Amino acid sequence: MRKPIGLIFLLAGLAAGELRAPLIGYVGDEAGGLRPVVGVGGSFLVREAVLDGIRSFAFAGSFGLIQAGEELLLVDQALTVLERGRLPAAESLLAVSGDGRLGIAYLPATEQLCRLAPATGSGTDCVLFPAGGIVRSAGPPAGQTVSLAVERAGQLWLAEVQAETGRPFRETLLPGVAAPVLLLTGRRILYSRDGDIILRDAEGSETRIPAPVPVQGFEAMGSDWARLRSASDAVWAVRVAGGALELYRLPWTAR
Amino acid sequence: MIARLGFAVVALAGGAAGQIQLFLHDAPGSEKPLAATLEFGSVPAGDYRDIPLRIRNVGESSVTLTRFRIRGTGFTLEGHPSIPHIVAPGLNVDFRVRFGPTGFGTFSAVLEINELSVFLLGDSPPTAAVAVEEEGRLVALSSGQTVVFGRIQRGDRLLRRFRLTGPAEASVAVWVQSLSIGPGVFEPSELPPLPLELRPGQSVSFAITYAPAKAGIHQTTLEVDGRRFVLEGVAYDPPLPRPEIRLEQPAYRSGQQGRLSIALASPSPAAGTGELQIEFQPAVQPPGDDPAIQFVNGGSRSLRFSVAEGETAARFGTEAFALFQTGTTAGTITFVARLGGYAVRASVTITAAPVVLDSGAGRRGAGSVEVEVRGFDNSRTVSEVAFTFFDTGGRPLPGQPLRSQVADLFRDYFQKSVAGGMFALTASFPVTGEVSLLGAVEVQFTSAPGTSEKLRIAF
Repeated sequence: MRKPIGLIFLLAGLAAGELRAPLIGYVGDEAGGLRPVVGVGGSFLVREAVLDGIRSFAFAGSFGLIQAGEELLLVDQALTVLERGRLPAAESLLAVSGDGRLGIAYLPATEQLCRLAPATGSGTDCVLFPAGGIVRSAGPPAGQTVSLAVERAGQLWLAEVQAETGRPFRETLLPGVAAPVLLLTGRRILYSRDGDIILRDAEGSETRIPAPVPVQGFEAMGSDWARLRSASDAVWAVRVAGGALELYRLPWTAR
Repeated sequence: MIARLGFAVVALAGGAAGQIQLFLHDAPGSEKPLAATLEFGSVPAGDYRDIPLRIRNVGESSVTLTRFRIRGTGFTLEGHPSIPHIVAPGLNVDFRVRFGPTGFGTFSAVLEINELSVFLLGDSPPTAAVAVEEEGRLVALSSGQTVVFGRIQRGDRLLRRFRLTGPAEASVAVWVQSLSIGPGVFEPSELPPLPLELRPGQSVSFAITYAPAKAGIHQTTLEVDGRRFVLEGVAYDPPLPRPEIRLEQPAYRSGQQGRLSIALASPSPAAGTGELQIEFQPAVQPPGDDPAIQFVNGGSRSLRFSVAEGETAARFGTEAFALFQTGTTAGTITFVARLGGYAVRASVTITAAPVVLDSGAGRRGAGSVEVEVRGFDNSRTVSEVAFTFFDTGGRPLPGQPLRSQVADLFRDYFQKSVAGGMFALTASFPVTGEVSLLGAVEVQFTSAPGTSEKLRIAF
């Protein structure tokens, strides 16, 4: 017989620090800065850049992974550095787990998969991952499993890879999915095709909304939020709320 | 005879004046010694020509100018000092001699400065006098003079009449060989055939119309037998039409992104720019601003817009709409569109409403659960929050809901917050027993306008 659940209610004694402005995540600006976005659906504030010299970044849950200069930084939502490691100043695809236990960087130039885990305290650890194609997105790791969207001969494959070894243990064809693509938690896939933004869930069912601009890519802003990369000056963000998609435009002033 | 007299005068000046010398000063820093005779050349009657001169004291003591005059007709002194005038050693005095013949013929005179004298010579050929009609009377024009047509709205036309007259004192006719107008927006009409013979006192008139198609200051030249007259007019754009703010929806609530356009009462007769601004009057206590109430395209509370000629709607950069956020604070949002002389306003009332819960997340920990709720309270009057926990079978736990009075907590937060009515509340609940049996929690807020919808958050 299981012990009944008891809840001790402490909310009346909440400290003021437990109320704060809702931080959605971060967007990169044209000057390589990282700008916090505060808000709820339909009401946003884009703050001044808090970090400069950013090459690449990804946020998920309450954590983020940032490539700045020759460093890879695993940070919390307040950008406190939890772990840091070396990373060549080259193009990379980043992803971080929602619990902040693992950040990964895929380096296309050298086909390396690098991991950064605060628990190890050993900095960046890289292994080879010959993708056999072009890696289009890295998804938030689940445990030690990394999901990569690999384009081979015009088709996208979901490669699930052991982060420690770089060895894929499952590869699944993603029929109909095309780049630009962003792998999300829960085996969900966000991609754009034929002028639509499409969310495919783990079971393969899709939700779509018209894209306001031709989408060139996605940027993982934070939990459930992604920025649309486009040639437009306007900055658009899409929220993946469960199986639904919501599209908003962020108030934006260029620096 | 005249030339010889001039030579004698200058020879005297060179010896007796000694300390002061006369120079031609026709450019800054330029001093050219003056010859015995100063030739003004040919200047038509009614025109004039100035020659700038300079006196310099080349001696080592001061010189007092006690004589400074011109003897003869047709010549005058301009910009000269009144006498007596002391010139310190090494210093100079600048002035001009003007030849302005009143009729045709040869003119001569003598410029006298102390003991220094220079012979002045000029002639005036018989030419047609040029005049312009001003308020019904004729005004004679001198070469280089500007005829101001006036200020009109572009697209309008302004006509001025000119007249050529043979000099009455001439015994023979004069001929006008050329008459032209430079490029620009001045159109001649009724021009006489050339060459034109004008007997003494005879007149011929013609017209010039200022017809500007664009706003601005316009100039060109009227040239009559080498004499140039400046024609000038100023054109302004017609007034821009009254703007009208058109909101896409009849009503708005907090947490929305809305669109508005600016229509014009009539096709704009000119291109122009205006400004659209947001003013916000909060209806919360204590009054607090909400920075999220702003234009999305521009990221501020001010947005420039443009109107093109012939268009009936404004554009915001490349966009036809201004996108705005209603923020998360109750109050009145007023849009003010300024275009030309108009300032047009349109207001939107955001009424106080129950708390809106936007999203939430629940996390199980070791011996506790954490619940995060995001939303906004546009009345800023949150008083209570209730949590109802469910087991994994969907059954509410006993003793639910758990209620907390949070008015002070939220009041303190809103007083310090710069995010309007938005908030993220994180609540931790220590748990006894099996945490994994907790399946979900429902959260509901109470504020002055009422209770919020319930937000169910799964663990």
